[in-house]
Amino acid sequence: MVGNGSLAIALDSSLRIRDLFYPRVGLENHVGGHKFLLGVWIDKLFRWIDDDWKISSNYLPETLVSRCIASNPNLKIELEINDAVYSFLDIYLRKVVVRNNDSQNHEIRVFFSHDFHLYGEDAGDTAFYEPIIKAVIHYKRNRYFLVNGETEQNDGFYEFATGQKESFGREGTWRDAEDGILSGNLIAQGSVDSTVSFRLRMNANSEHTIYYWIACGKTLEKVKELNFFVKKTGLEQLLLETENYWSAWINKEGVDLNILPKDIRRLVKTSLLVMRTHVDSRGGIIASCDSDVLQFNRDTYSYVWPRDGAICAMAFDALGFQEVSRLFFGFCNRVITDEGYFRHKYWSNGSTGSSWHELLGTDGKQQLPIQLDETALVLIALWNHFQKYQDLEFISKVYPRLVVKATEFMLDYRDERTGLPKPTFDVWEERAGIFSSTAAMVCSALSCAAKFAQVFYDSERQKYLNEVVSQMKKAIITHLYDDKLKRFIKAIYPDNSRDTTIDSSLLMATIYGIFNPPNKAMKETAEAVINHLWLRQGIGGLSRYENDKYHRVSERFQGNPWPVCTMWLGRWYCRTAQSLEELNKALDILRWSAGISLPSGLLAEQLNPFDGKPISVSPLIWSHAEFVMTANEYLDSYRRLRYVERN
Amino acid sequence: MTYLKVSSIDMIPPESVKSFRIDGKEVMVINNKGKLFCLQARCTHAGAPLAEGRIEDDILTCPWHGSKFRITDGEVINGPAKKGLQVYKNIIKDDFLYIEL
Repeated sequence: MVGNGSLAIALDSSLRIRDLFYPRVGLENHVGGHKFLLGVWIDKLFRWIDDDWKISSNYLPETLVSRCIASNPNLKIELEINDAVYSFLDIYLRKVVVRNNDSQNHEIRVFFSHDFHLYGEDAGDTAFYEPIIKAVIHYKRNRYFLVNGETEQNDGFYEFATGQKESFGREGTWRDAEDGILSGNLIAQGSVDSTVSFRLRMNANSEHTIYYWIACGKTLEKVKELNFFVKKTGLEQLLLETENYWSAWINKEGVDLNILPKDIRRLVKTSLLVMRTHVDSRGGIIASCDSDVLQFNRDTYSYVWPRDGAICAMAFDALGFQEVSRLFFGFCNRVITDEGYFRHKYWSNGSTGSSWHELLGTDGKQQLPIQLDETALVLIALWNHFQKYQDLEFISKVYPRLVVKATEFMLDYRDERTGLPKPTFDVWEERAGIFSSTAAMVCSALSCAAKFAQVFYDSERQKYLNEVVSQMKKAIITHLYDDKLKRFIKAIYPDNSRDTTIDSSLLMATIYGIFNPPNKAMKETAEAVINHLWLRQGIGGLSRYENDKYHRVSERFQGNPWPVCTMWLGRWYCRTAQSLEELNKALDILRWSAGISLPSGLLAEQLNPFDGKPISVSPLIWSHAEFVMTANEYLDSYRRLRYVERN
Repeated sequence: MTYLKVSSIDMIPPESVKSFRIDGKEVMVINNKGKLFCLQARCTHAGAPLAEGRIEDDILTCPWHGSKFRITDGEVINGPAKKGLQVYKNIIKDDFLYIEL
């Protein structure tokens, strides 16, 4: 993942661009999972870079600039690639160092193909060669993408081709490349692609560099201007500026991470950087840029879930990145409904996202298609933010909607008989009911609202809210704690049936909910979660809940391990440790997380329990945010316990 | 010149590298086989975080562009960096590391 807040690009393990969002992170994907191939022709032998190559992907430390190595021992060639999005302008930068590791001279051609689907559609695109600036340009309506490049010797493209694809039996210009020669077709319209090549005459055991870029804009003039800027400044310089920008960003004075082992420290920083690429310039934080899941349900994770965003905002705040969380709260303030709740999910421009939540329940009664914990978590995150930064002027701008409206809604949306929140969908987005975790988070949010009321000297409101919190807390224990099972149950459904499934989300009742510090009931519940959901075989980690079938790999396990759930356990250990020795359990969870992250530092939604390979999307920003929060809680607990033990 | 407190020495175990911000400067502390070396934390070429670099014998390799520095005196062994790293004198007192800035 590389990005700058308005241009976000995801590459796959074969170094191919698969997603390109512009001008809003998460909104218009102009590639949509299709592949921008990278290929090499050497002495009449052509190879696309794919599984035949040995490929490693990583970031330059503390930056959003990649360092990837692709080598092919048969061809005796190696490519070292840096990818970045320039921090200040919407330009994708790619530097390719080509190494001829053979003892003979070779002519080597490097090919870049472009399978744009502008605005996410294949129809109505144009690709053409611009002879004055010697570039290829793709456009449709108000989106222009200019592709250009040069070699170290200032040569531009060697050859190019534009052509049609995905129709009339035409596969695309990438196929044309496989003989090492491109047709030079000047323009194509409809469903189109393009390919360009660079030619290097390489001595034995030598290296040459190709600089390649894609300028993104809303007009032809804009992309030409950006192209001129790259040529004038030099791509090498733009890469250096981008490296320095992100290194400065991540190293702002904040939390001292030195207590943490190096691999964990590094993953905290990578997590924050990757999270940052998912933040749109107007505040929406999307769950994932990875569109691999498109093939399963024709939809993606490129939406703003208020829950995921709120937890990201908490993580940014915890490590000192208050300006990013403020952007998110601004987004929330714009999109919250007049009634005071958040919808299921949003596009990053604030429009309502797709949903699968029904408006009628299984009992035939009308229900709100929302997840109430999403509203609660935004309020909790806002209070955490204010506690740390005391930015009253900012809070006063969002207080009427994000605090007052949301609070009024949560107060109104209670069952008069039980005092619990009315049924809404759960954190796993599967069923409507009264969930222990949701109720605990709503109760916690109302408690935060009471503290806000105190800040604004509204003592009557504060008193009233505290009374409601006290009643709701009692109601949760009365209705959702099971004396026989000696733990909280998962939920009560509208037909009054009780769901006693052991669910890791019950830990949220302590992590984000009202049962913090944990009481006896929570300790019993956590014990059940650990006993039933921790994977004692395979790679370890915590499953979501008993008999979880979502992408399930094997019935030997309750479900696949999820980093998010495993991190809740880490945070549980942080909160309950009474000694540094006990705190080591949390450190083990952090080490586990570093161990299961991809070499580039990305954390997936869930993992194969046997080999730890990512399942579903990767990265999932929620996983990264929970990791950052766990590391931060570990640091707090470490300092507290070390002080206690030394004194 | 004064000595400023950096860290307790148990925070810098053998074969570890940590960076600290001291009086507005980023300082890297290397524990190489039990001996502590304090140098500027950023590469003189392009500002890379050197604490993320690799150390073999007493040579530190920059993690971004591969410059090599000798940790004993900060000298450049290989570019692209042209300028050596600032080296800070250090003392240990009561289990705390201090450097001269």
